[in-house]
Amino acid sequence: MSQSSDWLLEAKQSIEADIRGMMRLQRPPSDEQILSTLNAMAEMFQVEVPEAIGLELYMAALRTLPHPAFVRARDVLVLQHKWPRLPYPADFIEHGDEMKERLRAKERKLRYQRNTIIRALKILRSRTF
Amino acid sequence: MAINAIEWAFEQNISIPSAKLVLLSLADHANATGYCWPSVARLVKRTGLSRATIFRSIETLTGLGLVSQAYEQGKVNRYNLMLPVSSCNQSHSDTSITVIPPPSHDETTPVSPCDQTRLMVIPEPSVTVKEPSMKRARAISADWCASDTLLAWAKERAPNVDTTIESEKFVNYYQSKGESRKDWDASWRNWIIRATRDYTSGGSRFPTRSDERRTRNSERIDAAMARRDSGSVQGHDNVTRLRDVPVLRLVVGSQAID
Repeated sequence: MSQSSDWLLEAKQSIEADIRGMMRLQRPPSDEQILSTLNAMAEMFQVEVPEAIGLELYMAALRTLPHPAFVRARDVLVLQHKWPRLPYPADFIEHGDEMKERLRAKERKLRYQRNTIIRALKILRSRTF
Repeated sequence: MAINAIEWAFEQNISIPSAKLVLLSLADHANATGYCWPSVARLVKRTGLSRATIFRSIETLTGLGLVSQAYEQGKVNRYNLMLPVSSCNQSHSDTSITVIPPPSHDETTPVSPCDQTRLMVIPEPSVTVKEPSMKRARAISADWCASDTLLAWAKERAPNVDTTIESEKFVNYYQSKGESRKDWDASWRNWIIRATRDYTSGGSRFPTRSDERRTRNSERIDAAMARRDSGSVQGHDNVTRLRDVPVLRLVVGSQAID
């Protein structure tokens, strides 16, 4: 019985580490990353970046994406953006949304697994005492 | 009309017939001292030549030293036939006239000998005699090079400019364009002055649209970074959320977008 409990505890710790990793992955890109990306894209498409509050909104909208999703959207847009303007936040979100959902789904799955293990541990403890 | 001037004009050895015709026409208008002021229109009418040919002929005559031209802004052109001194003295012997001033109201009216005799001695006109002014524009020659005077000027005025390369560029440019200039030295000096500006502005004469856009982008991004550093945009863990942007807070209310 104790062996099962130990195994479950190890699994729970491993899953919690994965959850923390997933949460780290879902951090938004930093301001520097967003600005450097926008600057590079503006240079690439020969356009201007928005000014003042426009740029703030741009950055705030892009911060809704996790960093990997932002990177994925940036790569796709560099390859596929066809218009002589800076890609809109919606363009980024469109291309990064799938990655964002995948990360969230992975995190949900890990949390479900952790909750299952916690329930199993509770059951084991209740039977022991 | 001075007979001696016409005789003198006939005696001149001029290879260009049109120039000789113009000289004869001028001599026909000249007074005893060789001064005349016919308008170009009148010369055209009298000779049957075109205006351009008249100008060219006068330039030729000026170049040959047969005619000198005086020009003053707003006044008629005055020509002085270079009559020999003896013929002038001969004509002066019977009259006391030295110079007849040009008419101010009707430049085409020929001065009759009667008028000449009625006019008294007039002081030397204050008209400034222009150096051979009808300089023609010419294309640059392939072997044109800056003179020592020009190079010395460039060394003083634009020490940073590579005059060898700029001279080569100058000749190539005007050969390719096929443009003509009256004074290539002056054009070269202008070229060097412009080159000075190019050298000082880092190679580009004017900022391009790309340069301006790049500068604007950099300024905007720097401003955004400065705003972030100064904390005007609130955030947690280096993260500003949509609801933290004032405008969006108005739009979305208290709803958590992210």
